[in-house]
Amino acid sequence: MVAATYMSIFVRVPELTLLIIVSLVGFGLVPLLASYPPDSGLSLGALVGLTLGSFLLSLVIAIVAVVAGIGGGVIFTPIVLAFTSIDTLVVRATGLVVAMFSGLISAAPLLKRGLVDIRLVYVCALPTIIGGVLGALAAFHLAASMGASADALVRLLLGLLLLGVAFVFIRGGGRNDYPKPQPSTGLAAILNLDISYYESSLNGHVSYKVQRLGWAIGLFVLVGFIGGFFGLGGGWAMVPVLNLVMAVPLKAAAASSGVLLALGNAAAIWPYIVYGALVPLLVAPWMLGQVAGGILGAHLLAHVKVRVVRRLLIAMLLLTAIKLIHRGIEGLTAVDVGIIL
Amino acid sequence: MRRPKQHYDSGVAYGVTVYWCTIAGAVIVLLGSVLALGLGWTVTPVEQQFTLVLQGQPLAVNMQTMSADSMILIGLTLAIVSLVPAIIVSLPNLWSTGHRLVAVFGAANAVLIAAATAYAFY
Repeated sequence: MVAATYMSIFVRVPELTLLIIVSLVGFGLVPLLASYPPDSGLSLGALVGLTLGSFLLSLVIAIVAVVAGIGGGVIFTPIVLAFTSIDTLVVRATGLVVAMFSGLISAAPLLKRGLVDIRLVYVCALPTIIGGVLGALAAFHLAASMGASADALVRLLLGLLLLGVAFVFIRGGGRNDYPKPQPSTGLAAILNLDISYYESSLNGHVSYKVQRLGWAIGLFVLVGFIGGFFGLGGGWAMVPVLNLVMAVPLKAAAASSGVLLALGNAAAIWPYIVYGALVPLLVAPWMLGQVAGGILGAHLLAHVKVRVVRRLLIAMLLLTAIKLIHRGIEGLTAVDVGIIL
Repeated sequence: MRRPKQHYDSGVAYGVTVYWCTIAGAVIVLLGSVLALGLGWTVTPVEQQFTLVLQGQPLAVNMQTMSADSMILIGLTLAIVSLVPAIIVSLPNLWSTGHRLVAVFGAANAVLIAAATAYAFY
């Protein structure tokens, strides 16, 4: 079923097929064109392998990120920070690109299917953009003025918060998949955010009314700040805010989160570029992988059961929480805790 | 019979604009990558860039001179900046379907992204 869905996507979306083929052929042609001096550090094979490997890994990350609605940054940034010695600001800048590009490309298919409502995206994007820019600027100021212990403490607290959110999803089971519609109040009522979409796994329409918009706007400023600061994007927190606070059905929340991430990080990426933290050659294969994987993920999300989305989201929240707590404890105690995650 | 305008059309206009600009940006990024890796058209040699980055050392990439590096950045910028015209094309329909306050939120998003982009370049 899933394999058949994927094969039909390649036929229905020729630009995706072309992009993947041209990327693989393009990177494959490099060894024929290149002639590096033998004493130039990395070998040509290592360079091409690193680039192709980054592209394929990014493609897989994008599919998972779009289906779970978390953005690729939350997978990319902890992995690269954990397993390489690349400068943290360079990793965070690349992480933001990874977080936003799957959201940019998946917007069209998700909006066309009605899984994402543009009104919800615009209202939630404004506080996220403001928080994101402040977070990115704070990252550079704090990197220069404060020690590593403050960074470790923030990671630890963030990890504990995520762990709590994951348990809310585990305890709630399927109750939060389709929250019971309540009448909108306050700003949500003024904006008339009554939304419905066609849920193919139920073969029917799902309607919902946005709740507690005022609280959610405050939380989106915070989510944007943390996402911009750590280069994670912030999708890991957007789905819980949309689903648990605003009563958006889980699948629509996951879809909206990706589109929201792209808008929310569009301003936060610039401080990293201005400060020279974005290395184009490092970013390029990750961006291309996100574009191809983002299209695949968006088409798959429409057909996937909401139970799968919930389980994937819980797994991602738990993995990220454990990794953040692990690094927070290591940073605060200077003791190697020694888990491979 | 013509279908009446809906706010749904604003979302489609936004999504399609961003989609094609991102595809165009990806093609430019791919071309830049192949030119950099294959022909070495970069200010700092490719192998030196990767060695420095993997060792965790700072790397100042010269973006003032036209090279494959700046080409990749142009591709990324095209995709990111496409959000501004994408929002703009979606606004008239939102306004005319009665979602005027949402349109104001959308316009504010476009202004913020445009301002951050302008700040980065000047």
